[in-house]
Amino acid sequence: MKIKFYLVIFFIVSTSLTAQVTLDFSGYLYDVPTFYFKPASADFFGLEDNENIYPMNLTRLRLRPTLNFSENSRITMQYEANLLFSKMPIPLVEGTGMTNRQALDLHWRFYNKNNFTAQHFIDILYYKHIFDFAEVVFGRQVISWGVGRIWQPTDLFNPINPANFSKLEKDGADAFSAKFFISDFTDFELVCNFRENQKDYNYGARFRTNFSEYDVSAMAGYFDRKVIVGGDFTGNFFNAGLRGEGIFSYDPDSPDSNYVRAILGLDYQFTSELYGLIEYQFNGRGTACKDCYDFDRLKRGEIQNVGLNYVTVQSNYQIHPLVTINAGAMLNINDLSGYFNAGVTYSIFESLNLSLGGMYFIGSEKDEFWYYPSAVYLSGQWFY
Amino acid sequence: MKKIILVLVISILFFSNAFSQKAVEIIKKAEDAIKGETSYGKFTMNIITPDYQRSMTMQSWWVGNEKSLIVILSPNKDKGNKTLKIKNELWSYLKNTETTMKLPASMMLQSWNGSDLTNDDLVRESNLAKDYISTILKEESIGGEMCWKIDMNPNLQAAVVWGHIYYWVRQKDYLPALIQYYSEKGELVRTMKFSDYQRMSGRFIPAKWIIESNKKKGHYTEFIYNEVKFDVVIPDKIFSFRELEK
Repeated sequence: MKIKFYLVIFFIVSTSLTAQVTLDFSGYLYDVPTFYFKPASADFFGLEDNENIYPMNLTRLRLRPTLNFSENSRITMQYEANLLFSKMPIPLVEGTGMTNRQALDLHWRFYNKNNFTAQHFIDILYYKHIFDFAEVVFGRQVISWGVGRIWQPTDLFNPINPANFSKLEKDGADAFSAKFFISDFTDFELVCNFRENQKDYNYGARFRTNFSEYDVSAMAGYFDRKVIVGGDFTGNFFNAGLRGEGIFSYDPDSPDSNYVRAILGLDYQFTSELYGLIEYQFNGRGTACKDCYDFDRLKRGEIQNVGLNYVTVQSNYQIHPLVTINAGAMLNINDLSGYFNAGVTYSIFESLNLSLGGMYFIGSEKDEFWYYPSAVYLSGQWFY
Repeated sequence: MKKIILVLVISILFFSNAFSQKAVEIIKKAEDAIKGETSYGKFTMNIITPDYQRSMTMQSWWVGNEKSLIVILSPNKDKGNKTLKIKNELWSYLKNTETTMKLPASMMLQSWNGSDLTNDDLVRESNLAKDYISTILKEESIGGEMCWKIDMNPNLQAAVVWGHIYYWVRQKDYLPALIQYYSEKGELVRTMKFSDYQRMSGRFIPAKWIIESNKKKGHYTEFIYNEVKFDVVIPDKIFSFRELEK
C-alpha cells in the first residue's frame, strides 16, 4: 500500500514538472509546558509515588510546504516533528501514532527513553486538482464535515477530543475524495477512506446546499462496518448563530449497538468584544453506566466522549486588541462530572502568540472526568 | 394670516423634503464613488496604537453591498484565511484547519482582526443611503475643501450598527471627506478621515482612509488601497463555497 501511494505521488509530481511550479512554505513552532496535578483517580492508575505535580513539555515543529503546479493543481504537505518530555503516567490526553482512518504508517518514533519521546510524522500529504465541475483530492487529507463548534457527529474522519488542549489540527485521513459542484452553494462529495485492509475501508457521501439562509447537508456512509446516515444545518436565529447536527448509526449484525448522536448549539456576539456559545450533545453511543465507559476507544481517538448527555458553554472576551481571555465549562449531565477551562492569549508580535491557561476537572469516583488530571499550561506559538 | 402660515408650512415641508432627497443623492454619489457597482482591490491595513503596530494585506472582491470575498495575504499566521458575505450571511474559512464556519449575523459588530474597522465595514453590510434618513445640515470646510455636512439617522426598519452618523461630502467631486459614527447612546465612537486623493483605475478617489477611535486615544487604523479596479466583471463563482474552500 505504501509503495502504491508513493508511486502515485511520484507520477503526479513528475508529470507536472513541465508546469511552472511555485512553492509556498509556512509553518509554526509550538511549545507547551504543562503541569498536571495528581488526579483524584491516582489510586486507580496506581500512582503510588509522592508526586503531586507531573510536568510535561511538548515541542512541535510543523512544516507546511505546498507545491503549486497551477492555480488548480497542487500538492500539500504538513510534516511535524515533536519532542515530548512527560512524567505524566496517565495516557488520556495525548494521542500519537497511526489513527483508525489511516492506511499508511507515516509516523516514526526515533527516541523513547527516560521520559523523552521524539517522533516525526506526515500528518497531511495530498494532491488536489480542481476542475470546472469538481475537485478531486488523493492522499492524507482533512475532511471537515459537520458544523458543531465543540462536537461534530457527522465528522467521522477526524474528530478531536475537546479536552485535548494541545491538539491544534485534525489528523489527516487517507482517502480519495471527489466533490462535484452543482451550483455556487451546492455540492456533492464522495469519499473513500483507505485502511490497511480493504475490508476495513470506509465510504461516505455528503450533499450540501444553502436553503433559506441556512446551510444544510445530508450525509450517508459505511464507517467501521456500520451504516451511518445523518445531516446538519447552520444559520441565523435572529442575530444568533444556530446549528444542529446528527447521525444514526446502524449495524445490521448487531441492532443493539445502533445509536443516535446529535448536537444543538447557539452562538452570539454580544458586544464587539464579547462572544459566547452554548452547545448540547446527545451521545447515543455512550452510556450513563459509569462502569461501562469505553476508555479504550477514547484513548485511541475513535470517540470524543464516553457518556450520554453533555452541555458546554464557552466565551471569549477581547480585553485589548492583542489580548483575549477565554473561559468555559463542560458538563457530563448524567454523572455530573466536567471541567472548567480558562485562558488568556497575548499576541506579542504579529507572528508570535503566548497563552496561559488551565483546565480543572471535577467528578466523583469513576465519573468520566474523574479520570482526567487538572492542568495548567503555558504555550507559545511562532508562525513563519 | 392663516394663508401665510399655510404657505410657510408647505414651503418648509417642500424644501426639507427636497434637501432630504438631495442629501440621499449626495450620500449615494459619495458611496458609489469609493465602492462602485463592483470592485476588486488589494489593500493594506495598518493598526496603530501607542503600544504596538500591526499590518495586514488583503485582496477583495465586492459586488455593491450584496457580496464580498476577502482573502488575507499577510501576515503568515492568517494568510489564506477568507471571509465571504452574501446578503445577510457570513462565512469564515480557516486555511490552517481547512474548515468553513458560518458566522452569526451578530458578528458584524466584531472588530476586524483587532482594528478599528468592524466586520460590517469590510464586508460592506450596511448601505448608508438606504439604511439612514439623511438631511443636509450646513456647509463646512474640511481640509481646505467646501463640504456638505449631512446628518444621518437610522431608518426604523434597518438593522444598523450606528445610532447616528455625520457625513461630510466634498462639493467639488462628491467624494467623502470625513465621517463621524455615534453609538445608540449618542457617544462619538470613531471618526473616518479620507486623504491621499488620487486617480486609480480611472477614478479619483481617496486612497487612504484613517479610522480613529474616539474611545481610545492614540488608536487608529489606516486602510490604504494598493490597487483597485471598479466596475469590473466579477464572476458569480467567486462568491461560492468552491472559491472559499479553494
